[in-house]
Amino acid sequence: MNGKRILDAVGGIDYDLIEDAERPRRGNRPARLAKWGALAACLMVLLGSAVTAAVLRRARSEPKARDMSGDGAGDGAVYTVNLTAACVRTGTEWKLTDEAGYAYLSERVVVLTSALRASGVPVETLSVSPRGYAHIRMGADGNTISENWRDFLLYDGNRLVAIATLYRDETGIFDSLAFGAPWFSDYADLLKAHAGEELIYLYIGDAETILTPENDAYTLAGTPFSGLADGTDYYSFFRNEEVVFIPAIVP
Amino acid sequence: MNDEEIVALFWGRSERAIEETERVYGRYFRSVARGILGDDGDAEETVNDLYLKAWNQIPPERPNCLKAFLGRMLRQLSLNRLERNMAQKRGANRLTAVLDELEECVPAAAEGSLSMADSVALRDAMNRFLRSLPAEPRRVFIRRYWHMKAVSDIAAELSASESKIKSMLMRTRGKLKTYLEQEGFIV
Repeated sequence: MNGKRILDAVGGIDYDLIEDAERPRRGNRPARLAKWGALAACLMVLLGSAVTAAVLRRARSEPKARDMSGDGAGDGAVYTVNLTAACVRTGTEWKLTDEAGYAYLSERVVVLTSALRASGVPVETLSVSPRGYAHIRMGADGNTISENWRDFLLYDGNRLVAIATLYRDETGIFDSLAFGAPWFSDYADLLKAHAGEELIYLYIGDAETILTPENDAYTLAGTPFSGLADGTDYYSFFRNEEVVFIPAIVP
Repeated sequence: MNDEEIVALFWGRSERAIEETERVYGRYFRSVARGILGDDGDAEETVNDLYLKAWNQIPPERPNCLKAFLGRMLRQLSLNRLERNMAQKRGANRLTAVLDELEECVPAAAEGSLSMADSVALRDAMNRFLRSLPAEPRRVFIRRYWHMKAVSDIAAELSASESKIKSMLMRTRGKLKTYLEQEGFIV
């Protein structure tokens, strides 16, 4: 496993680099927040009930934190369930469409095939799913849809071989492949089981889940994720045309 | 007590060596282990493993910088424990996610001289590469792949968006791959 060798190499770097990276960022964020908090308090006094009401409304809708570690999503972290705020779209200026992403990957099928084979992934004929999916994230800082990030599934016949993540900015499109993981076949089976359905790919914190129209959630290994099984209609909240993806019906 | 004095305690086989190491560095080590493992209990056990290992290795080792010597050892112990704890779920296990990302840095097969199995050469190349980077992408890379921090945590610590951190990491991984190819490393 060559990624492991690189990880080991990182482990041996000079310690002054590590200590440099550990230094906290300059600027005292809590102090800045405290400053603005004091200013807000002054505004409340000056502006009276209207501001007070707005603050109280925000306080009532504070996101609820819930420990989802027992639900198979993660590693003991607490993920914030926040349905009070609509999704904020980020990266709109460099939005990646299905057409642009598909064209980018289609032009590179030969290179991608070579790269996968060189990494030990057997590939005969690589095909790109024409429709990708955006990254939606439910996090402590709100809900976001990253419009300049998009994942596309790469198949060899009916076998899922890689996931291509595309990212776009002012300098162009960048790609990165995920492949070779033991969960790929499980993920492919999950998609086959829901072929033709409009699924949502949702990050809950750093945990990646697939959400069905019935609000059934699964990890990428196909195991049920019960963290969203509280009767809330998460699917309707997050669904829109740009983020759903429809797994191909493959033989 | 400075490092030289603590190392002298190890060499003198005094149990105060562990007490002093804990007093000076215990909080730091726990923080590093917790960052990698994401669990206080596992972190505590790993730090205890570290002290045992330190006792067994000093002597014959006589490190100049105890923090660096034990910090590297701790990282490896934490990664070993993480591997043992590994679940089969992507994203639910930070080690799997990190390894997936670093696979992108593996240079394409080519006629070459240095094998990636040459760990010393690879480590030296990694040092040179990291020192060639601007400060911010270097720090983000190290926080992700030495400290094994989640992208969301790095973003929060640096007051940046997660998208910015992810894109920065992606570009740095691409640059690392190019660098390793230019240095003649092969798979």
